[in-house]
Amino acid sequence: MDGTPGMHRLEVEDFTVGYGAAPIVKNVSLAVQAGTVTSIIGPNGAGKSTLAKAVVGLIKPMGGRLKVDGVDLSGRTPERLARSGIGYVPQVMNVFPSLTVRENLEMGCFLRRSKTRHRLDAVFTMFPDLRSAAKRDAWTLSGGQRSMLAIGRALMPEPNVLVLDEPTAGLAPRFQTSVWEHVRTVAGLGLAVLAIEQNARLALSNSEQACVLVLGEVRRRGPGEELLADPELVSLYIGGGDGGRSLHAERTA
Amino acid sequence: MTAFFNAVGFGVVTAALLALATTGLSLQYGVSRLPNFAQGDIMTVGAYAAYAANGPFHSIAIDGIAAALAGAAMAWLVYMALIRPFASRGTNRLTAVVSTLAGSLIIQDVLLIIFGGNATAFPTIQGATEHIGPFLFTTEQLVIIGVALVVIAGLHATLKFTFIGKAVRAVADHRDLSRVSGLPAGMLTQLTWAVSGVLTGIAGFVLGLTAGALVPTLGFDYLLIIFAAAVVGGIGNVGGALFGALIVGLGMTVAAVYISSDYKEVVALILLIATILIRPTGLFGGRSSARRFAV
Amino acid sequence: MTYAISVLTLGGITVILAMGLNVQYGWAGDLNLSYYAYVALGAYVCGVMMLPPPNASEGNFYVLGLHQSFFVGTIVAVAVCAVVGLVVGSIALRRVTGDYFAIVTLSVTLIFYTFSDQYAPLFNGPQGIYGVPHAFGGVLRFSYSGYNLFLLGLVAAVLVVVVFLFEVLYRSAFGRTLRAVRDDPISVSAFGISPYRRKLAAYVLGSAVGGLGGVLLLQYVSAFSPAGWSPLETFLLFSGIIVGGVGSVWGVLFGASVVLIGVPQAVLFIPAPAGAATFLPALQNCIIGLIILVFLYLRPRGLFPERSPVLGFDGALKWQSRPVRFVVGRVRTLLGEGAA
Ligand SMILES: Nc1ncnc2c1ncn2[C@@H]1O[C@H](COP(=O)(O)OP(=O)(O)OP(=O)(O)O)[C@@H](O)[C@H]1O
Ligand SMILES: [Mg+2]
Repeated sequence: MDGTPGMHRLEVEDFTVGYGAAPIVKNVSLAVQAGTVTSIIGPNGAGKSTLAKAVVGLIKPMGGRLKVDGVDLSGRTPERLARSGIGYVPQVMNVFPSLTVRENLEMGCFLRRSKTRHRLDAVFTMFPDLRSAAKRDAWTLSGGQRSMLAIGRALMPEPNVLVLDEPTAGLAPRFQTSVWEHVRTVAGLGLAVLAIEQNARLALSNSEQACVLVLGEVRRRGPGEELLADPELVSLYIGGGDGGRSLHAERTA
Repeated sequence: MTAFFNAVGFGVVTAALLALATTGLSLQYGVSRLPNFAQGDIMTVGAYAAYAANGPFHSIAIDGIAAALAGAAMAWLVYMALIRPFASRGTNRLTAVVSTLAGSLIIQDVLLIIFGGNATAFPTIQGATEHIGPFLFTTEQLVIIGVALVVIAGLHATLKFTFIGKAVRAVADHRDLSRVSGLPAGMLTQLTWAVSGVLTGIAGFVLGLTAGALVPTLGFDYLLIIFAAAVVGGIGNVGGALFGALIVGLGMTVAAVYISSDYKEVVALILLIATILIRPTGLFGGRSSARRFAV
Repeated sequence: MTYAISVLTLGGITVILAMGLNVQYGWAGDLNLSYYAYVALGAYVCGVMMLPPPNASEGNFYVLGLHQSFFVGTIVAVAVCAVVGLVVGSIALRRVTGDYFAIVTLSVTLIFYTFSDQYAPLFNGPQGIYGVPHAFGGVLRFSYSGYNLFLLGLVAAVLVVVVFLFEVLYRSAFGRTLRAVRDDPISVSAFGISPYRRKLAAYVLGSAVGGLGGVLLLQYVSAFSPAGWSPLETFLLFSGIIVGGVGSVWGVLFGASVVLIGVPQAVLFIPAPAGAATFLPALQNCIIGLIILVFLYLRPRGLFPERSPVLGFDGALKWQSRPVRFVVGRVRTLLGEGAA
């Protein structure tokens, strides 16, 4: 991890991931350019979190390669991937509950302890709410504060790539927008951001690229705005329609 | 009443040694989420190590250090050989529990082969007695209580204030999150087990002192009493371990005075069963231990 | 010859015991550490049923002393074990599973052990019961060696019946659901099956078989005392199950025979240092402990793993075995998203 802002590119090539013998994610490829956001949307159980866990090394993929800046990082442990500059915000259990906010952030900076003070300042500037809550135990935080803390923790070591798994889950719409403003800011620093999001409209309107994952396969992909303009997708995921039920029907068929 | 006041000294010593062993168990449980059925046998190893060191040196301090080191080595070995191979495979938790039971069997019988089945006399020191309020303590008991308090307070401070202590708590909170944050979770877990062994080894040494004789089942017979203290206090919780140890230690002592010393373990076991059935988060651990329990 | 008969009789009893434990650990997936308490209870109850009233002038005390036949003693012993199992199981299994169940059952064993050892009016304290009459001694007047042969035949007959019964149960709806409960209690309860009741049935059945084994053990040694057993004894039985194949009837029959009869015999060939009476038993336990570990590392499903039965549950004691997820998926589909 060199910490220089700028040209960091995440490539996932032909990932096949599963927990047992049966693959849950099948032959998924993605590329996320530096300074851009790629979002993944899809129904519950599509395998979005599974894909994210494989990208950060928590599950060993059955096949496929992972590259950052063209360097092959496949098969590395989560610790080493973190060292190579991949940051991750899990969907659940995304903060250390018994540690204070400040300590949570310090843990994020384990890899670059000499920079802790400097990085704390940067993160507190980005999330002023966290500064005032610095001494509180993380389990006492509200959902919104917790999301901020989780993102802040992932940003502490100045990663090159950030993987976010539903950072807005359970938040009021106002906070969802605010989280995505921060995601845009982070991308603006030159990171390659891969974000999983339930709120499709929010995701698509804030992402350069997006893909729709269904049953572990990429069903659609393209620029966010283009997908947003697609009437079929909109009826499936966003406005009125049957609220995604037809995708569910497809799943169970 | 006098009998009671005189027994309290012994009860507090029991509580002190229980507190050490229970804190060790809580540390292990925190990072590995498994009840270690070989915990009692790590105590036994500590006691025999103290005995072995006592021969050449005749120094109670060196005995204690030997017990701590042997306990650390044994606990580390238990983790590496019995827990880790199963933790990383995503197998059923029970597999790892069965493997600690097998380890317990092996440790006891290796000790039996080395030291034989007859009780080995352990030197007890009879110091002067002192009154503190209505309670009667021997100097030795006071030293034991003091050492236990210092060790546990030191551990508590380390966990709370040092960077490495916070990192251990992070691993205990959410292992995967600690790994993706770059923390060396594997090394921290090994370190935690070794430290748990230091406490457990010292506890075994104290147990040897109070028992006056060593047998290979010394610690195994104490295993469920440790579980009782841990569960009553809310497992995985250092403050709770102290509290649970006091309740169980004093409860056993009172039972020995007023019922019969033959049944004092039964009192601890009933406390253990009742707590598990009625309030598995422990009497002391309200919210925090409930949270730690969530797997 | 006498020696071989003796080894085979004890071995047969041990295999019967392993069979009963396998219902609880192998089929229901409960790490029951109280199993040997039921063995002891069965032995004690049968003993005090068969013995005459205690003679206090010889310093003997125990309950009952009804001077009944072996047949009545066995029935009462097995019934008592089943009832105690029902009471203990219905309290413990309703509230806890997994490692807490192991802790509770080990505690129950130690409490029972303490009372059998310390409370003399129950089973004569540390002395235990002794001089138990031979089975059917009043009817069949055997010579000493004739009786030993008869006992071996009795044990073999019981073993055959137990194996046959368990093989039938294994394939029955009860056996299949029980193993389904073990592999995925949440999905199974979504089908309206109560995991608790199946596990309780397994616990009671295992306890009764344990009691029956205890009765035979009592006949084999004609005495029973706290010095003759320890709570850790249960654990030795696990080795037979783990080596043979957790859950599998024939596997356990094989594993228990090899490990629990073979190892103690093989150890006898090792020269023991003079004067160390504990050396060989200790070595034997070490070897059994190591065998368990080696199998857990390398072959956790044992030499003869459970066959995969119709429901598609595979026998591995794993959370994430594939067929289970298949069922989870099915349940989800049935109940809609958000379920399971
Ligand atoms: N640890 C696990 N072991 C086995 N199967 C799992 C595990 N975690 C998830 N699964 C299965 O993998 C599939 C995909 O799960 P995943 O969490 O990746 O979905 P998702 O797209 O993130 O859904 P959501 O929108 O609900 O977060 C599901 O069918 C789930 O049951
Ligand atoms: Mg998800």
